[in-house]
Amino acid sequence: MKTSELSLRRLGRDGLISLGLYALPLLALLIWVKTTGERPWEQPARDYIHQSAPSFLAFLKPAFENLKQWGFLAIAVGLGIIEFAAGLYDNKWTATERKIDIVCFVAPKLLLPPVVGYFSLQLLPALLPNLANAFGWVPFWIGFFLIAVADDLTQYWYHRLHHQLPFLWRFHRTHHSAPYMGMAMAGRQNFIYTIFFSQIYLTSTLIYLGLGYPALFVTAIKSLITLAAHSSIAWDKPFYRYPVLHPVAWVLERLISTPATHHAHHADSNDDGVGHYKGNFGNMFFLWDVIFGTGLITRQYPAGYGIKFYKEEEWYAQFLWPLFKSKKEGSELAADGPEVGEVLPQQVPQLSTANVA
Amino acid sequence: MAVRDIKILTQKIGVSVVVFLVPLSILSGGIFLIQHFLSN
Repeated sequence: MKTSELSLRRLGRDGLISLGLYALPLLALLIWVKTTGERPWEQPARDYIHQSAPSFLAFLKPAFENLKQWGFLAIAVGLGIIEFAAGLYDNKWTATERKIDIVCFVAPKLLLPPVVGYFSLQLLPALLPNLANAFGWVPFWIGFFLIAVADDLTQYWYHRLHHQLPFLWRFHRTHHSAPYMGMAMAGRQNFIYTIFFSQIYLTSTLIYLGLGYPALFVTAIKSLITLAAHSSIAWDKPFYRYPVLHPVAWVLERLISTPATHHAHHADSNDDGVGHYKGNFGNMFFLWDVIFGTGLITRQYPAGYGIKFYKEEEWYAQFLWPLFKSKKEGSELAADGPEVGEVLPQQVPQLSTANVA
Repeated sequence: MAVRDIKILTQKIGVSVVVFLVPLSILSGGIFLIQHFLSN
């Protein structure tokens, strides 16, 4: 997985395109200010975010708050039980995998909140005094658009760079080492990858600046989509099977991550034309992959998941590399292991809609 | 931890900070600019 000159050029080109994409919510805001003639920032007492939100969101708010507090945990556990009952893990959940999945599921829930809490409640007020709620005047839907782009495009880049810059791969490898898909591996990550998730701190900063209300809805919807995309329950299959649903499928698979597109990202091989582990980086929106040409849509599911150079490394090495190393000889996570085990030259990912009915 | 581990951790944190700061600068800077230039 060498970073070829062509790949670096593509990274640069796509980075420039992203600057324009980040500016789209600003354009929407500018158009709104120009067309309405309003200057809400001059009336700080007005709470535009809440005033301009549709009333049904007031009913949904407690549901979304509960989802974020305990609901997603319940959904993940519930879906996981259904997956196991249906035999979707195919006896691949070995003792090693169980340890990694359970540590990665539990530890970040205990360790991450104090770090993000310190960042939001101590660091931001110290670094940006007097700016708390400075963007509270932004109308709800523009705030929603802004958070959706900010959070998910930033995660797309964070994720893509961990695949395309070889020195970052081993921080993300743990998420790909699982030889199965499902709730058990949805949160499986190296802790250093998780603790330095750029979009967590970006969204926390935008919440501090006054966009907390739209952020609640965006982050809840995003969590639902990403959980559903990792599930081994192929909820998207009916959309491909019934011709009457094909137009919906066409839009859905280009807009958001689905099991078909995200499972392809976790495939152990690209050789079958279905797997696409060098692309399909989108988390909530698949649209980024469509725009940057890193997507592959086949409406099929890979035969196998994981990574070719997996050596079932110890849970502590997978969770805390490079603080702890694997003792497995030749492992990417060993003290003298290769940066990237893969020796095949990097293919330039292309958006393809081959085999789409 | 070896020196090369500290180097790779530093590089990794550097990438995270850049990926955080670029969108934050565009978005917050853009909103402040709109606010500044369109104030009555």
